[in-house]
Amino acid sequence: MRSFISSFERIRKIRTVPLQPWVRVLAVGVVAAVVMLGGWEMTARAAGYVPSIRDTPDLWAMSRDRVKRHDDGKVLVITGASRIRFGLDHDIMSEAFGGLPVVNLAMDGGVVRPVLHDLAQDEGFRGIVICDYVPNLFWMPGGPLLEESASWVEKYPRRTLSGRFGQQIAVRIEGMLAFLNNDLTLGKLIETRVKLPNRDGVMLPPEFPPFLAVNRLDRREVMWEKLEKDPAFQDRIKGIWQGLFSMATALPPELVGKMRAEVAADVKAIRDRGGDVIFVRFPSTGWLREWENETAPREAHWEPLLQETGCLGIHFEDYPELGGFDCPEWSHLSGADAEKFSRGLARIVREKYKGNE
Amino acid sequence: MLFNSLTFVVFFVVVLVLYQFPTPWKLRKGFLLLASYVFYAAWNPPLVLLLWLSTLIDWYCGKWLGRTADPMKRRLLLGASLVSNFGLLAYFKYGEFVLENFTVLMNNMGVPFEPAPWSIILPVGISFYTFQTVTYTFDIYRRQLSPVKSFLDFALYVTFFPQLVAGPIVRASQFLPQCVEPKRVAADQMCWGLLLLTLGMFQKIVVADVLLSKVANDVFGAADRLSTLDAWTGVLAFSGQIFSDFAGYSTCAIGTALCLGFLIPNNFRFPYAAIGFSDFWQRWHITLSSWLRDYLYIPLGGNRRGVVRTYINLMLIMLIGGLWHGAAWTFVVWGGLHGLYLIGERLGKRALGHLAFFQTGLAEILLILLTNFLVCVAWVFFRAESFACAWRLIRSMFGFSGESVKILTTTSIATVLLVYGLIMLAHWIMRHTTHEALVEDTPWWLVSIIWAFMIVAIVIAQGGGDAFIYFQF
Repeated sequence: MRSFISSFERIRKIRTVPLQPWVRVLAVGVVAAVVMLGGWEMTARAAGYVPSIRDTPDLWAMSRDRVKRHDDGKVLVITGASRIRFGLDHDIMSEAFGGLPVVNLAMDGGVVRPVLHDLAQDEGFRGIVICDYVPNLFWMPGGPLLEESASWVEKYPRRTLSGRFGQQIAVRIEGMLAFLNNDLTLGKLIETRVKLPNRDGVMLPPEFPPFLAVNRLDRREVMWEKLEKDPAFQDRIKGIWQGLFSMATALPPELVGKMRAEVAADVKAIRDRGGDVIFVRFPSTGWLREWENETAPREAHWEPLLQETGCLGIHFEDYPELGGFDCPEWSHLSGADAEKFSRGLARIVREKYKGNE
Repeated sequence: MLFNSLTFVVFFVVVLVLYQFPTPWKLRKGFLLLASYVFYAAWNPPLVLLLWLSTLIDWYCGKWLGRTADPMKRRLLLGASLVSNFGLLAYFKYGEFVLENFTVLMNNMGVPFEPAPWSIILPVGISFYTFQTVTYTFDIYRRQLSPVKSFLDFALYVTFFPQLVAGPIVRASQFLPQCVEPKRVAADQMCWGLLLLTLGMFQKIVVADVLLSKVANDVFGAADRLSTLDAWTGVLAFSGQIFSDFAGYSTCAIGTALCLGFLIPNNFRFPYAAIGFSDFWQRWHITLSSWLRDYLYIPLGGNRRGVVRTYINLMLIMLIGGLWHGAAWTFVVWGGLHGLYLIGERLGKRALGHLAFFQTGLAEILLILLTNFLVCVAWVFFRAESFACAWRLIRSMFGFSGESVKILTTTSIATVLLVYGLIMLAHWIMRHTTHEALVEDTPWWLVSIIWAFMIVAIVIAQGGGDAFIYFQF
């Protein structure tokens, strides 16, 4: 019989510890790493970056959990795309709805329909949904943005224990360090700082915006100071919006009708359980507003949506206190304007909503 | 639980601290076993039941094999172990594949057949722990191993968390002797283990996930035919990614085990500097290739039954090796290509091996490049989601794509070529040496600085916590 030990002995011969003053090697290595990371943190802060929680499917899921946590299902869900995350103050809205806890399920660049469908399918949900209406995103019939939004929703019930625990640690660290910003990841740094001339005819994907807002643990976003104040940065983002939104085209009415019917069915399911949905059209300005009006005209999309769902809809063009804001990069409200807009919206909702009840 | 997750960092710190307490060895082993179950359950708790089942089956089969000398009973007991282990693997990993192929076959024969959707989850690491546990009963059957007396030791062998889900495939004879004596981990060993863990994470997070994966995903996910440069860049990116991903996991596993006082075997020895395919398979996924050699190739007769039978055995082993990686015909083709490479190499050696040119340094370099070129061609089938995708890419790589598109930025191409070039260079330099020898010959302060740079790169890389590619196998 071959020796029980021989196989192990072969590994023992290979797996030797190299001769080095190991404790010194470790100590110097760790100190050097801490010094370098400290320097990197200072560099990030000097460039204007501040700690911001990274918006990931796991963070979204933490918010989604909060819907489940309220046994009576009475929560105020904010959903849609980034405009509502920039533009709506949670505390003001909570107050407007008699102190209902606010859960933010909006996604930057997100298509809201999968989220509405998810809430409609959730038998425990009996709350109110404030739904951000960004015309070109709301009616997106397919493509990567819709797939991404749907994947966040689908991932929610499939989270692992390890992932949930890791997310709890991650948000604590991200809340302290500015360099943990998406703009400053190694991949992004190579992509944005090493710009070599491209070959003729290369098909490049559209550019997505860099860091625009500070994200809080409750997923409320507040516009980054640099975006509020730096005209050159604002112009850069306007260029990005032009590239991205130009891809949207007018949709065939039958396709919009099909999507509208799906939304109406989801709204009905929520209402049948005692909940409700309110659509809100946030301000946009400049070229972007013109483009949105052209590709998704209000009378062809917004009005029929309200008609078919029977929901309360609040369009910024219809209320003086919601209009007149100047979005620094055409698409989002600044921090100060968001508060004003929220107060105006809260007042309107209080009046209108009570009337509709 | 993933090594490249914050959860693992916390888990490992807690395990290391509690494991150092001066409690009886049996208690510490029990703690490691419990930690290993937590590690596995953090992914999907109910699947721990499968681990328990596999542990119990092989424990009893091994025990009864040790008690009986009757050849028939011994064959039955080995059969019971193999059928139950490979049966579970077949059901969970290949059930859907078999059903899909059966459906296609029936429909092609004109028999309408529509199966119910297959909704069985593939348990993480089932291919690894199945191959690992059967070495125990197989070695006892071959009288190369005695049944272990302690159930705790055996359960720890099956479940030991560092290599549980993605290898290396550790044999019972390599692990069980280590459970006998209590482990006292010296500071030097702990530091070396931590350095290996850092190196593994650097390979996975920085090289595989951040520097290479996006280009590989873009190229393999492209719907159009690509320019030759784009196609090759994508394939090289995947070649570098899969090495860094899998070797990174193995290095993490070895480092983690070292910190706990356990030694597990190497899984990679700089494979992209291999000269030929026999050499490649002694450097790539070593624990799988040696498993296939010892538990399949040699029992089938190996090279002892003539040239033709040797070639058949080689091809069979590589086809099974391909199927081990995944339930798809593309993996079988990948294995088949490696089988052809091995046969071609033997034929080539027989015909040309005596030429003086093949003893020169230039020939060595050319053969390394040729081996790498053929490995990359095979990777196309390994990575492609379908044959259509694989053919589209093969045509693009060899300039037969007709009208093609360019999708990669110059920065992406330069990054991939630089990183892949550095990987090749590192493998060339390290071809005849080891990490241990290299680190021993390096000034201590330089080791510290490199370690610090790796930590910083891992932190600022901020990978998205992508799972290791080999988890799906």
